[in-house]
Amino acid sequence: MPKIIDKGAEARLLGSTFLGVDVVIKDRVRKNYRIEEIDSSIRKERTRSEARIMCAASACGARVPLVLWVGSSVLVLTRIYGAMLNRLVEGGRADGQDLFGIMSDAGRQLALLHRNGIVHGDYTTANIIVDRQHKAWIIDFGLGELTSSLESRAVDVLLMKRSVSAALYSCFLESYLSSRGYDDADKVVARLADIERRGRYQKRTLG
Amino acid sequence: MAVLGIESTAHTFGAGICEKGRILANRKIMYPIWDKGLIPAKVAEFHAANTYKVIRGALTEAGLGVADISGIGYTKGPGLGPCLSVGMVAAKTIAVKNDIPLFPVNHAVGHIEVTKQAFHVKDPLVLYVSGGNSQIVALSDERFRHYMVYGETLDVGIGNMLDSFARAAGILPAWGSEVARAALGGSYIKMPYTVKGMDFTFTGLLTFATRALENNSVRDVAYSMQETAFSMLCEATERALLLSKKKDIVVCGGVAQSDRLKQMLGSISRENRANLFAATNDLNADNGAMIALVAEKMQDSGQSYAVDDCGISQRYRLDSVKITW
Ligand SMILES: Nc1ncnc2c1ncn2[C@@H]1O[C@H](COP(=O)(O)OP(=O)(O)O)[C@@H](O)[C@H]1O
Ligand SMILES: [Mg+2]
Repeated sequence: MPKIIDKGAEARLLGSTFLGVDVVIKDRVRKNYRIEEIDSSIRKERTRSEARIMCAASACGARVPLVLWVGSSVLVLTRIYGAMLNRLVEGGRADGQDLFGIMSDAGRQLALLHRNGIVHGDYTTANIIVDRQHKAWIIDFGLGELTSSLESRAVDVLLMKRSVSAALYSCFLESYLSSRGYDDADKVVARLADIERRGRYQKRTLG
Repeated sequence: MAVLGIESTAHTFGAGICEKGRILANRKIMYPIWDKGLIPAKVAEFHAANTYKVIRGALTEAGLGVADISGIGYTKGPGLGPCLSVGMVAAKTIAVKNDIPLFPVNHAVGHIEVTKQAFHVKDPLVLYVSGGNSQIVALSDERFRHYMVYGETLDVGIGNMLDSFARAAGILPAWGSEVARAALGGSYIKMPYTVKGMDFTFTGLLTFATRALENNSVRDVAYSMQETAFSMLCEATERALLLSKKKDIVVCGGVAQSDRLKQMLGSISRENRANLFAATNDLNADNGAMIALVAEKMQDSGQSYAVDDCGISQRYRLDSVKITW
């Protein structure tokens, strides 16, 4: 029987099995405030777009769950067992060394996505699962885009900056900047400085 | 002692009076809008001609004289420069002549605080929807206490979009509430829907809707545009509600007069076990009482301003205002 593991603004996440594999089902639920026509088209478009982006991410070797099935408002993804990075950071549960390693990994993963024209859209510690081998798995491409826009890429980096301490961020940034085959990192960081100067200080992420 | 508030950001010139958070008078006059947009200089001329009458009317309604006024608030912005100037000059004239302290008030803070006061709500998530602006904000708990923006329009305000559409569709008077009337019984045409997290944009929708008028009925286009725009606002609001973990939602500003918008937000609050608060239409329309109310809070929390520091600012951002109460 599917069991609810999480409920967000758009979707509920159910744990289940599919073709013998442990999976999560991301089910975008009906919203009663909007008319049926708008509701169903948004749920369908968002589901398709998230699937497309996750497939692109898998194809370029980024560590993301595999998309096993796409329904009209449902995604079936391989289930990643581990701890949410935000919990680890807040609870200090991983020892210091591990967190720095994980943040480097998160920086490398983002560089890989950006190099391949993928923007995550909500790149915070609430959307990274850390498995038992201390590897970072990137989830939740619901706000993602296939774009090479510097601004969108800079927002990805900025969201991570706002969600962790300065020390962890510098570790993340260092690996983002030094990732092989990715030459735009400096430009992205320059744009990030621009955005911060324009200054709309706020938390914008849901996790 | 009572506080006088003067509002003149756009089409409305208002004067209100309040005392200890209670509204004693709320007078206003509105520039007659029919089919044209606002020509700021013309509206300012209209306001200037009515300044004395409206302020005098408010004092009479409250049964007070200038001697009973301990503070004067006026709208510093955001708004149209020429219109703002009329309110500021009126406020300064009375203040300097009678030696009364002046308080420059942010228009959006006025809409928010008057609703909070009406329902005794302390810390809501706010959807502020007016002509020129559309923002989702809540008080921050930082040392610089202010309304932090969770999400906002990246181009035009929802009210201006509705008004522009009304003009394009020949809806008279060209006004949001008339668009709502025109939309009754319409059927849905697919339109562009753009929400990015908690931010949204309206110009794509407006352009699409205006073009769609060529081969669709005004009713269907108005209906589809309104449903799309309000759904966008609601989606962003629901995200912000979950992120901020607030329990109360305030919707305020001119477009908060829309019954459909309030109905949609009502559904969101029920599903998230939150409470929705919207003030009466006379307080969601631009008015002087809300300016008086905020000025009184500024005065009571120890703010003071030199007359020379009391100017106007057409782009006075809500999140730059320090909240001292
Ligand atoms: N592939 C997955 N494996 C394991 N858990 C997952 C997976 N995808 C999502 N989750 C869990 O569900 C939660 C919400 O999923 P997410 O895709 O971020 O949805 P939302 O858009 O609601 O934020 C995550 O924080 C995580 O705990
Ligand atoms: Mg998430």
